[in-house]
Amino acid sequence: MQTTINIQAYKRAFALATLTFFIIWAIIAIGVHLPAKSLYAPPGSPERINGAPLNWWMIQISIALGVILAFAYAYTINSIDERYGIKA
Amino acid sequence: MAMDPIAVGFLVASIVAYMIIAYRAKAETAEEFYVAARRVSPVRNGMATAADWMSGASFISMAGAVAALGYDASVFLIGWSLSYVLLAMTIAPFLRSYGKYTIPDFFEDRYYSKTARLFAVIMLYVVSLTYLTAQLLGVGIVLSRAFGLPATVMTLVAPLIVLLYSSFGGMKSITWTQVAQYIVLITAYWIPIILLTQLWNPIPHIAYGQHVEKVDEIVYNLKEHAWTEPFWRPYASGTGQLNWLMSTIALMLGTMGLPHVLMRFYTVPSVRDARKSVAWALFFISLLYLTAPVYAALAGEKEYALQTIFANHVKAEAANFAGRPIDEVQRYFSENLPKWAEQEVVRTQAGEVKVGGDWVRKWMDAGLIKVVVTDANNNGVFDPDKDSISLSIHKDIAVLGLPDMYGLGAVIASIILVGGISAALSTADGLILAMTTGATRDIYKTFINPRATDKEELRVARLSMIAIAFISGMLAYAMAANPRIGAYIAKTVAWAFVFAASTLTPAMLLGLHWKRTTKEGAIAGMIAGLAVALPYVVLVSLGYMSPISIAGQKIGTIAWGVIGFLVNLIVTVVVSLVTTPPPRQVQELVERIRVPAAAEAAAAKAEARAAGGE
Repeated sequence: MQTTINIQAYKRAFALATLTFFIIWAIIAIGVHLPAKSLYAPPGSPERINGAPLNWWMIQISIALGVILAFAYAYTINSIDERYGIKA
Repeated sequence: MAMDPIAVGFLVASIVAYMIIAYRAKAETAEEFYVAARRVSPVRNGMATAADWMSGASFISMAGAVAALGYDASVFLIGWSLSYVLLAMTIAPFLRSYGKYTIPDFFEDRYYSKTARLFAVIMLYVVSLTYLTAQLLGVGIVLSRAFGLPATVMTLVAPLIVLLYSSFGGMKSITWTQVAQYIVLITAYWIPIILLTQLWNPIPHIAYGQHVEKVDEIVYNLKEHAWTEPFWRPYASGTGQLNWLMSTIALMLGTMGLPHVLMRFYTVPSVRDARKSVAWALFFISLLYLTAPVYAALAGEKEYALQTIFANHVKAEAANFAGRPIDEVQRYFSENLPKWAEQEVVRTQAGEVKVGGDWVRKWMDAGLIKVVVTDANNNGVFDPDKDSISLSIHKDIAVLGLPDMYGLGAVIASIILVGGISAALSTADGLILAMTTGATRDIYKTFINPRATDKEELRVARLSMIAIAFISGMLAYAMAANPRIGAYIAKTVAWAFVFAASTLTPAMLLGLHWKRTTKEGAIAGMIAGLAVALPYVVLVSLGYMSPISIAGQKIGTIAWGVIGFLVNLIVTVVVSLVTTPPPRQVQELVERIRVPAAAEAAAAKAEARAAGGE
């Protein structure tokens, strides 16, 4: 049946997209904070950016990227839905 | 402490507005009561979810936690926001696709037993009551600031306010009030930052780095560790980077199992809207979470400079008080502190910090800034070698006190109070509703009177709402009366996350994604998770047990949520594999929710609808 093949392909596309997004998420949410100690620079050090060390800025960058990621995920999966004619 | 007429005025006005909104949107049918007739747009649901999610603790204490913990507070900032991406990928759309009314509904259907529903209701109550008690405590504390009455009394008033507007009706009216409450809380949070014009270069969230630099230097001089330096402070009884990692993951897992948040995703029209709605929710949440560090640096600069001035005076003058009564020492430093704060400046390489005396005086009068003198040998006499003099600054001052610190005036300070109350109320709304639906649909309608009409169901819902508000009010009162438990709101909120992560989250994840999960597995997993989480969290945080160390790093109570989650996961999988597989239609349903309303599954879905009573 034609629809069955479509559904298998849909599931593959869905799984691939979700896995990709999960890996990006893990980097943004956890990965960038693991080297926090190396990103840190003591007060007065020239490695600081606009007054704060990079590990500090990473907190806000991580949240902001998370917002973008959530929209990108919704957009990607919803267009996969559309491509395979899934009405939800 | 005197009543703050501006704050009270704003408060009464906002509560009347919530009542009008709730009344106009009141639920007429059970469908509207439980899921707002599934007609809430993704943006609106995102806003309501953000309000539901961001508690009084987020609004009032989050920035204070960042001010106190510096970099290490990233546990809360990251754990409580990035979790939403995970929620979008693993739970929210699938739950919407499954198409039930409440989380216990899902449990009964997926785990094909009423016992599973009962367990889910119990877990829902454990999680929500912990969380709600903390909310009411938060409302009580802020109300007591506004009205000048004791916090213990105000914790009892808080649930009555929620009842004033939420008893009208269910999810439909709560969705609208939460949207209004979100707008109030985010406006209140942003106003002080917008008014500080020196921060608009280019935007406050970048420009505040100059303040971070000052805080860092001042903290470094006080403690030999900088504010932004990672992993040197203990929190929730834990220490080190491993504890940071485990705590962050535990808060994320907990978020994914909070029934009052999950049930919001039943209200959107479609699965696609559920995905969009999670993204909007995270966007609205980030507007506060990205601003909390700005508050923390601005307030931290003044607070740590005050600590520095205080420490200098103690160092220079403590010896003069040898042999004097403790009270006299305490009085001397208390009386002079505002004057010193007014006259002296703290110099850093990034510029000098003026503390200012008025806000110090105001919050000393309110009892949130205190000079503490210890009496080591209990003789009432000060001994400079044994006794210490320290300054205690309550962390809520970072938000509540910021308008005073930067001279923004009384009106702005009152707006902040109203924002804090809106944040706590909007979360209390959602929690009370989650427990009410638990009592009505999951206990009354399932176990007591399955043939109840819509009207009877709604009446039971309203009555149970009143009972729940009353019980949680009493619990919050008990907490407010016991300062040892009541002092640290964020910690109690974090308990709820540990319980959710150890009970509901694994059962949701496995139930939605692994069709082999059996009812025996899920129930055994939830019991095991709770049995592992509850004793540790309670005993360690109350000080009856010392935390376990791994590689010299203490595993705190929040971090323990990961252990509870893993134990639950393993027990569920093992027990599922040795018990009879779930019935065929359940397994098929788990397959089907992956491909929502596909052409092939259309007929099957109609069947599921008939069976599920949708």
